[in-house]
Amino acid sequence: MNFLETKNLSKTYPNGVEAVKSINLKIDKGEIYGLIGPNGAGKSTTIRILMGILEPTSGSVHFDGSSGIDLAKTGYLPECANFYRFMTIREYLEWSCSLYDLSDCETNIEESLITVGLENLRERKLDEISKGQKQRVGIAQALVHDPDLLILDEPTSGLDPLGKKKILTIIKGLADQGKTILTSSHILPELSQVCTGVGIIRDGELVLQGLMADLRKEFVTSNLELGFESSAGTLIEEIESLDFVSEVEEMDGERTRYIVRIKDEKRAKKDLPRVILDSEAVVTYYDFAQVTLEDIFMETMEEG
Amino acid sequence: MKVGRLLAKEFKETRVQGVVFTAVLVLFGASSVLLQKFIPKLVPDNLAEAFEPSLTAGLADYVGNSLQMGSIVAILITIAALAGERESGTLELLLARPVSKLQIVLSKFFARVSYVFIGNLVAGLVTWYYAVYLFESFPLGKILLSTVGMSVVISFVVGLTMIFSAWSRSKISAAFGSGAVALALAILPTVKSPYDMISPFTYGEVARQSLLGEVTVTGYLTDLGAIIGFTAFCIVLTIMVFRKVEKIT
Repeated sequence: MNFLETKNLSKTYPNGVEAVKSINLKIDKGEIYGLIGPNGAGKSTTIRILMGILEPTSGSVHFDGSSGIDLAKTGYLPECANFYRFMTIREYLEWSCSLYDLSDCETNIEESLITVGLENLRERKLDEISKGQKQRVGIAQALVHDPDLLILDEPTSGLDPLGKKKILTIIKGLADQGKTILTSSHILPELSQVCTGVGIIRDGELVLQGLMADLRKEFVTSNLELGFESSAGTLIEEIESLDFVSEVEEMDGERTRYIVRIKDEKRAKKDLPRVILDSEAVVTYYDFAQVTLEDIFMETMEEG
Repeated sequence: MKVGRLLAKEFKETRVQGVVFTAVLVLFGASSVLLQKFIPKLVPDNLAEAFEPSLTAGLADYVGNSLQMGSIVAILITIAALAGERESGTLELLLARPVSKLQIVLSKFFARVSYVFIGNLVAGLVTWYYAVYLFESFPLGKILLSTVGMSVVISFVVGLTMIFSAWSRSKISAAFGSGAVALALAILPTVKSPYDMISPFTYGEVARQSLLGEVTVTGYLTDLGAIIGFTAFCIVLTIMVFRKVEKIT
């Protein structure tokens, strides 16, 4: 059994909207699992069911071998986290920690503050901090009882690039400490930087799930970006006909920049340069790029 | 104890509301006796002759004003209990903690009930002081009995408002809902109706009786028990509504 898993989890709202349709999540211990999907796909509903905030219409949640989530072992950051504005950061963390019946909250609070880099702002009122600092408080409060599982719903939502980078660095650091993390986002490049596992959700259905490493192999292995001085002529048709190439996509509408989607990177690296050299086209750019989460996501969505 | 920690947070968050509640009751309680004494001096002489200042009338006003104003302010300080948390987006994180909905509701209810009792006690003591200072000696025990009676009645209003606060998405709709039902229940005893027994305000008359008339210990406790029963029913209903609303939407 996986550390966190759901069995046929479904949710139909009273207005008849089927937000989640028979989802079977499988998340292993120590994994950073990215739940991705477009806005309204059912990510937040799934997360709220996992946290026990929403009741599923059918299906079940299993955590560490037991039925239902253990809130004492789970830290949660909701999509739109709001805190008690009359408290300081330290007071809020103290109060949060006190609800978990721990013997030593002081150490936990200190460690949480250091992890998110807010140790110098501990006496700052919660209505006096920036959006980025607020998200970091959100992570600190989720960490304050030293949970085994962290569920972060859109943790980088609304942050500037620097703020996003900071949050992603924190998430990576937490995974290094052995925490299991479930995070959701519709901004793919961010998740691809940190996730080891991924689940793609579309219209309430989990359409794809697996480890990033496996998915990279299963999908297009890599992309080759090609640039030509002038029109590539018949070379593109020739490349398209190669059995290790799945698709060639024109980038600029002038037949000078292309992305070649490769099925077999080893063969492409060996044979493609020869094909190009045999043609009369003048190559100005040639670069292999690893397949991204965005590629996997787009391909899954297009298949749907 | 988790209820204690939740209660501490409630006190910290709503202490200003507690002070306002006490101030309103003190103002209206004390002013009832003060006005009774000084109205003849504030109005023209020809009208002043019509006034006969009496402590009994002043204390009757004190009970009436305290119950009315106390109920209105109780609604205002309670509407935000759950609807406010929902409106400001803090409820989701509270529900993600290992605390039960029963603990959340009880902490919010008892924090407000504490203000009701403290506010009524302070107002009662101030009223008693002015009664003795401006009129004549009056038994403090009667004031305290009436204070407890009024506190129990207003606590019912708190309980009633909790139901609407659990049900509503906004503080305004919670205020309108609880205000309308409280008003209907308050009117019920004033009209000849076989249904006035279902209004806790019918039993609230004991607060006036214990101050201005005679009431037996059994009668006093029975009537207060009835109101406490209504209040307990409100809290049970609040928990049921809170569970239902949060689990499905």
